[in-house]
Amino acid sequence: MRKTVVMLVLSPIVLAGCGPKVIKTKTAVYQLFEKDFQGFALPEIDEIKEGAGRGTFRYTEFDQVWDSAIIVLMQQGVVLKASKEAGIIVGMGEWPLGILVERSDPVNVHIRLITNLYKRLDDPEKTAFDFQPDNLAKIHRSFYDKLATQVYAGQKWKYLSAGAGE
Amino acid sequence: MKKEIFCLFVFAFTVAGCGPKIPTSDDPVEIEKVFNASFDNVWNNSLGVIKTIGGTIITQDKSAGLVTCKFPARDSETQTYANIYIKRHPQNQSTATIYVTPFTYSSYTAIKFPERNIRLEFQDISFRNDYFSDIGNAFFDGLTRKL
Repeated sequence: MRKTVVMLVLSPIVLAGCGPKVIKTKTAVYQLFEKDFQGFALPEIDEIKEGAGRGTFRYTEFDQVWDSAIIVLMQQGVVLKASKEAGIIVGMGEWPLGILVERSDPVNVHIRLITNLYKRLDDPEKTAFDFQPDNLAKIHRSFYDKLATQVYAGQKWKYLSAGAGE
Repeated sequence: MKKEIFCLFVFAFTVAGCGPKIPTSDDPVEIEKVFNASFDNVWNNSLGVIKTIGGTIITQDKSAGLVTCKFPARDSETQTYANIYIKRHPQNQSTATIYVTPFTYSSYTAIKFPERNIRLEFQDISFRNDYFSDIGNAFFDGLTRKL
């Protein structure tokens, strides 16, 4: 009987010791919404350009692409901040995306997943999610597909008649 | 055989009746509306209408034409936000187009095992569009009255 009692007392202690260490934390993006985006600064132009995503939009202008990028982002989630002067928009939908629309001809659009927002508050050196290059490519492609539809929808397809009559 | 067919019919109708109900609205859901007023006029009045319908402005940038606002929380885990974009028409300065997209934010605890003996529990967030909420219509109605 005494042996059984000792076993009963010891086994939960031993089992508890074997379990994984539990870390409870928050991410930077969670905190951002808690604080109504206070302290959130737009990423730098070069920072967005370092992201792997880049798309080129021909037969259109900066304003059209800018409007379209906002409309696409605001259908995916909450727009955190935007500056038309800098051409930068940051939106938080399924993922936090930073978009840079360049005043160029053709119009270049750079995209970067803002992974900083997934930093763990308990250990800012680490992020709560790891993004593989394949996943990033899918996120970028998905955005560019929607953006292209928004930019060109309802417009005459100029490229079809660009060489007409020559 | 007849009995089995009858049962199949009854079953199909029962299951169909249990399906999710698609939310409906008496008014068509509006995301976009054109106003015959200058950008400045629309911008200034929009900020007032947001407050009138119970919203709090979180960020605004007039040059970009963007306002992000939130509405009183339904509970401790969900919160409704709305993006409002006022688009200029340089070729017709007495017209502005407004887009309103409401979203509901939910927080939840996500669990991951980044290392063998570590269980990471972190607060994460997700969004779903809330186009069937009354926010868009309330905003457009309020703005129409003001303009």
